[in-house]
Amino acid sequence: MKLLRAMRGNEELNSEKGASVFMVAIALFLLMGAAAIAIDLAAMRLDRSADQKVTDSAASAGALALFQGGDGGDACVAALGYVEANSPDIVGGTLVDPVTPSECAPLLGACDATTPARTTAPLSAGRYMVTVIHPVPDSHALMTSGQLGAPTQSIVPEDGDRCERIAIQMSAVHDGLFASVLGFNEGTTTVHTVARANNEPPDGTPINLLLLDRFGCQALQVEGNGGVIVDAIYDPDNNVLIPGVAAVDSDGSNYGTPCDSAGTINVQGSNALLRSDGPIDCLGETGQSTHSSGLTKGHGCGLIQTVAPGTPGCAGGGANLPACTPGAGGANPPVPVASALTQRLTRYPIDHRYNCRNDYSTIPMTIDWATEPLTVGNEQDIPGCSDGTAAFIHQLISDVGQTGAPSGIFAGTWNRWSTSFPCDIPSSHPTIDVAGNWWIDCGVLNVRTSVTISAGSVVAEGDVSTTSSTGILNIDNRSGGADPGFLFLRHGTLLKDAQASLILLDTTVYATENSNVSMAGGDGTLNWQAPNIDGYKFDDLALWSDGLATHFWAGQANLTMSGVFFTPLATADYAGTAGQNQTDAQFIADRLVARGQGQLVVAPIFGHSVEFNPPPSSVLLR
Amino acid sequence: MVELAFVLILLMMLLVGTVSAAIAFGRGNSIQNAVREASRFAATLDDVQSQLAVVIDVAQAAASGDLDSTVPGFFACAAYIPGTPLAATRLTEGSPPALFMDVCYDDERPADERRIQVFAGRTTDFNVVIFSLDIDLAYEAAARYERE
Repeated sequence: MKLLRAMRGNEELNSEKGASVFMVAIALFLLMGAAAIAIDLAAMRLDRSADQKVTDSAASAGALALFQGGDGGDACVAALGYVEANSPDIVGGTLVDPVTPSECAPLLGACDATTPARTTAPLSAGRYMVTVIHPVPDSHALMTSGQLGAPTQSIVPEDGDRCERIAIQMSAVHDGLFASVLGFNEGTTTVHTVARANNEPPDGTPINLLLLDRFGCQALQVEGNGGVIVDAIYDPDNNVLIPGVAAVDSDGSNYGTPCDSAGTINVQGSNALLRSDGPIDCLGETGQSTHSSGLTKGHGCGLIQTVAPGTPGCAGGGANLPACTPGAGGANPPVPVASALTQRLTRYPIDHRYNCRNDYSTIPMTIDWATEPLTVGNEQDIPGCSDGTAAFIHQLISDVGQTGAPSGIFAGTWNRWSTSFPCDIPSSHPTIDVAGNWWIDCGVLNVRTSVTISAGSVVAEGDVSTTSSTGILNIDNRSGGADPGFLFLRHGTLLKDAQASLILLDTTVYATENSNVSMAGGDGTLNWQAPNIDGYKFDDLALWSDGLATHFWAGQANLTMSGVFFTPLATADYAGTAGQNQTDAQFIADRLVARGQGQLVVAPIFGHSVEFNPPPSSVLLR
Repeated sequence: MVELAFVLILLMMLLVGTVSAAIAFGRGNSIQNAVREASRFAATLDDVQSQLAVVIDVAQAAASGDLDSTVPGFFACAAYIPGTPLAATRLTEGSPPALFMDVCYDDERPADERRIQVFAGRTTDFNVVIFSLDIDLAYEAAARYERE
């Protein structure tokens, strides 16, 4: 019995042991399964969404690199750079950190509408595998294959063309901690992004006045009784007024000493005025008047913008330095108050329009006087321009050259001034009326009589001045349907005396580093009109100056200025007079000082200025 | 034996509770992932306001069964907010809770920001042997819409 009881007890004991093992096994399986669902799957989804963010940012970076004129290789390097920057656990494998161009070698080369997709080798790094694809044709699987649960996505115009698109695919292996109880111990997720950079419509904004100084104080300065009025721009297509824009690219850092006592915009003097107008009925409108289009414009309804922090500013009391300081005594802040510009506008739209180069850092060293200004320009981050064959300014510089007769596409018949006329032309000299191209080989050409050069371009070695009330210089490429021309200043000042007259019709002025423009105000006439011929390489360009010296402007008894006046490295000094101060010009200068009695009205004509597109944004396409 | 019975009940409650909580957590995580996927997808869609049903389809597919139309308490909402005075476009499926104005939920973004909302959920059973309760799962996601 004892034995039997003992045996029975043992059986019971044994059977209970078996039951608990069984129960523990079941329980463990359930717990591990639960953990697999709750932890492993969640971790995998988390990783996957992180990977998606990585490919999104990488594709955006690549698309912007393409937008800025890079080829597939540049875009791929940018994209992989962002993959690495956003994935801390990328180690080893064929994806080298930092990225070298060799990973992207398969993507090099020109791209056009028939280029097939180019793909990098699958680049491995730890548990990741990354592939970059450019171009991405409409038929590529990443463009067409529908997302899980969605029908195939069709191609729409906004998807752009294949060369504008870049795709990144990234797969990752995830190890499971608990998932092996459910029969698997690792999973792979794949994410992809196709992106394109886009700054197409809405149309660019014509900007009336842009000051490019990146760091300085008082980049826009109005003093005395002077004024600057940035006028609304009339859009005849839609019969509306577009707000005027005055923009200052300076961040007010002043090379390490912030502009605490003088902002980037400074309106001093009890009657100084800085105002930007736009369509009526805006918030903060300070008055109304009739625009030249006949529409009513609102005073202060435009924009005054600066990159400097502290905006909106200038609302009085010296608030929000260093964006701007209100006028002395706080009586006359800009109207409207300056608002923030989130990033610099920079000079690149002008460079791209008139001097489109693939790369602004590779100016040939032989053109030494051109190098420095353009290098300074490079500090303004001019991105490469997609059509490098349209570097018209560069072509003008290299063909018209520094010395001797113009060559290249400008070779031809150049009349030499000194063999026909004196350099110092007295008022008693008979009127000169000539046609064709003229090479003015004078140290100083001083015009005191009426000189007309029609249907031709002019290259001047030194100063070109028109002085005394009898001096009239007229370079006329408009009358008689002549082709537009240029005036090339090699080493001197284009000078107009207060009483004298200067007339430049359909004539673009190029001024080298050693040249500048000085237009004194007074009873004379200044009639300077850019070519206005659609498709002409210098359409709307009145002045391109690489000069460093201050350029002087002033009100006139008769003043007509139209087109783009581009003096990116020089201060524009505007001295108003009681005469005319209305210009149809777009001013883009390093800095602007307005002073004197007159009010400079900056009112470019719609379609006759360089438009500034909004900064590109990248669009995720798939 | 009696002790075992007591302990077993407690253990079973713990075990079943853990498992059903894990399932609920997993479902919630799955739906959260799904609404994010769907909003990311919607941001790439051309003419999204006419394709909100597709956005919801993508959310359901991404949830791999956890958000099927037949699951208890299923609802899904997708909305396109044009960022202009124009009204938002909203599509709902299932039986959603009270929604915010003419959109899916209050995302506290500026009214002039063009964007997409996805909002989806279901109920899930939390079971502890001696009692069970339904938990409402609801997740929201918003994405900027940059296409023309």
